[in-house]
Amino acid sequence: MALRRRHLGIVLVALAIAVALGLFGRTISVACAYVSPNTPSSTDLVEEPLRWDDRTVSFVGEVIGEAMVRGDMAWLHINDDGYYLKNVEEGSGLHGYNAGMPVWLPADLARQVEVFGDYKHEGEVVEVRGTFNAACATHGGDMDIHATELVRVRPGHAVVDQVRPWKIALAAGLALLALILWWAQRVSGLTLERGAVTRRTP
Amino acid sequence: MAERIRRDEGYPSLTAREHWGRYALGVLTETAFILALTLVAYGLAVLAMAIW
Amino acid sequence: MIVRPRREDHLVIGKYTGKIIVGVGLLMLIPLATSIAFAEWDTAVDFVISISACLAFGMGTQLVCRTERDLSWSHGFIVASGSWIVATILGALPHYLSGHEGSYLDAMFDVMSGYTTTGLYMLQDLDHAAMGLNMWRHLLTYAGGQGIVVIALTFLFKGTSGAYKVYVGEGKDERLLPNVVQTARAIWLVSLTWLVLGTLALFATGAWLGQGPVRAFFHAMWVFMGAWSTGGFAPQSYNTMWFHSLLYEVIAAVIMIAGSFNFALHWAVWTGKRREIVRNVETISFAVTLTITTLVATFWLAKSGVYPDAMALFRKAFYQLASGHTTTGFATIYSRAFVTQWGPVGMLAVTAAMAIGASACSTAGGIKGIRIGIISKAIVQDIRRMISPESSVVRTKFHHVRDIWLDDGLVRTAMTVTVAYLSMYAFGALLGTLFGYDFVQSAFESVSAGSNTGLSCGVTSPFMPWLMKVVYILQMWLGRLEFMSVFALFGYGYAVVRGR
Repeated sequence: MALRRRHLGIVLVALAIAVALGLFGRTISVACAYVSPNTPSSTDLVEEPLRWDDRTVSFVGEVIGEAMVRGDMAWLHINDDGYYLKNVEEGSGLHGYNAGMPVWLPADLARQVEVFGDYKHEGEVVEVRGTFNAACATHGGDMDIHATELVRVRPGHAVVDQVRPWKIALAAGLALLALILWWAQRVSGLTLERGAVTRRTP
Repeated sequence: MAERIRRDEGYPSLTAREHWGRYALGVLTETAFILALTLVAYGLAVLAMAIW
Repeated sequence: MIVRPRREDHLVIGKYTGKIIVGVGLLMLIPLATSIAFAEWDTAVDFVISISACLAFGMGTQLVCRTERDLSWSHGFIVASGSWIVATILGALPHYLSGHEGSYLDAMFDVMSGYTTTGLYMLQDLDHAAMGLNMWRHLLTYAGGQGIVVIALTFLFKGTSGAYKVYVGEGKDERLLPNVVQTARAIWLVSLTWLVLGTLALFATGAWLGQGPVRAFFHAMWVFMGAWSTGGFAPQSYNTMWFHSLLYEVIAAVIMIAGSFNFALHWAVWTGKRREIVRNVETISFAVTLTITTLVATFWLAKSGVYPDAMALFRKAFYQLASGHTTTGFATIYSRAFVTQWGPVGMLAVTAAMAIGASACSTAGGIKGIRIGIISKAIVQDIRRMISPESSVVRTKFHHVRDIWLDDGLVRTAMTVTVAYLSMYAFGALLGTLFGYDFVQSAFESVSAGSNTGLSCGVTSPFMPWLMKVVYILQMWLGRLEFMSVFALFGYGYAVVRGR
């Protein structure tokens, strides 16, 4: 009985250390909030929609995803968050969630954008000017900006996701371990299982 | 694969073609039910905007 | 007297947990293939690491825990809840290795949220996340919704009786067909049929709305998975607001609500009993409570003048309420808009809808329609008993695929689980207020986590206090497994230490 209690104690302490490491791992960099280049920022617009409703705003940010062209007009989504200049893969650090605004504008303006933000690209930074709607009547109550001007501020570029050497080593090591255990399991399976040989999913 | 479960005698396969018609009707029934709920919600919105 | 579990018990649990973890590792092959297809090398290596870790753990455990014994009922519950924990720890590897998570706790939060089809997330810079990582996130909700165990049932278990016990441990206890493995196959048939039809519908719509073909396809598949599993993850930070389309929203709503139906109901409707859909206690309960909560929100929003016309009002109110009531968690408004535009009454309507949840034996969460139905009928029955003469016998029936008598045992179980959910919701809400969050917001978020909905009003964030993250993880887990399996797990642990 005493032996079991001591084991439990050791397990609990180890667990507590692991939990603490897990909890506080990277939280230090997370503490830096981002500062949006815009006034009003997308956060300001969402926090006080009626204050900005129907007013002309200027909005700078990274164009992400893709342009969705619908007839003569198009949708762009522009983010003014902590990743609008550099994304995580480029070493921007962590600055919370994405934040941005949907923008409805003439399709030829949207077509000027060449690079859209995603895993492998940091999108173009553009500035749009237009009217903010707290609950757009044309678009089923969406919060959006109907823009009439678009200016390209900074071109987009490709982002390389460097594979880190330690990851390759870890991958190789674990894969080898898995292979060894699979082979060991097969061997023990053949000798110890009752009755006919059972093939297992590899 | 894990050991094959012995097929129950006389029990037709779930994916047999003869069932497809009923399955399709099932999907349509469910969709119709849901669209009915959607229409009720739309009606509520129209009513609400008429009142206020 | 509590009997301490013996070595054989540990071995059985270990062996079946190992099998499930091997399954999780194999599931990761899909996102690995995705990353390779899109030449995302760093992400691909992340998956190789994670797959190897899962396979090593799973096979190692099976090697150590060799036994011929089959699962008993209590084992089943423990394997169900225990394997979720291990699967969460190992399933978080791809998230953490991606660099998008603030800590391993955040990564585990996201994975638990995925498996439990909640949809709250900690991931930062989602808009720059890899295709492979998004594939893993959405696959988690799909697998979690189907039940990791249903997957295992289908492929990895030899005996059927043991498999059934784990199946019940996961909170599903409907026997669609006489053989439990056939039941699993019927569930897959329904799910895969909807997968094909739903993805096609969303793909066609997305392409028509101006998406490129590759993005239209993947977004369609992922949004389908989020809707059907009532998970609520979307591949970018704007959630389903991205599409700005009534058609897309209606299709998503159809999939969400269909996904929230009991699989036994699907099977009944699909095998000729079409009238079941209007006779079933759960669909009736759902229709009633959805309409009531939508009415409250709609009238409040109209009175507050938030939206300019009926179409806008309908689109916003219905979508958010349907998403909340089915415990999906898709939104077409910003999280903070719940606070800045909808206000307390709107939020409370959504909170009530989330708390009630959808159908049992489905991918959805919450208290569940069947319990609401049972409790309502029990209250009416009690009133009738009070006003009837002493000697008369009052009995009530309700319809769930077949007619069932309302007996006291059934009512008691329904009430116990309901009280458990309400206590959990209240605990989370109070904890939030202790940390300084407004009560209405805290209640909204706590219910969202505990009912596995995933709508957020802005409380959930990587900057949230770590204790709240831990509590939400526990709430998501308890809510999804409907308490029983988790209690069994703790009981097991207690018996190990204190049993004789």
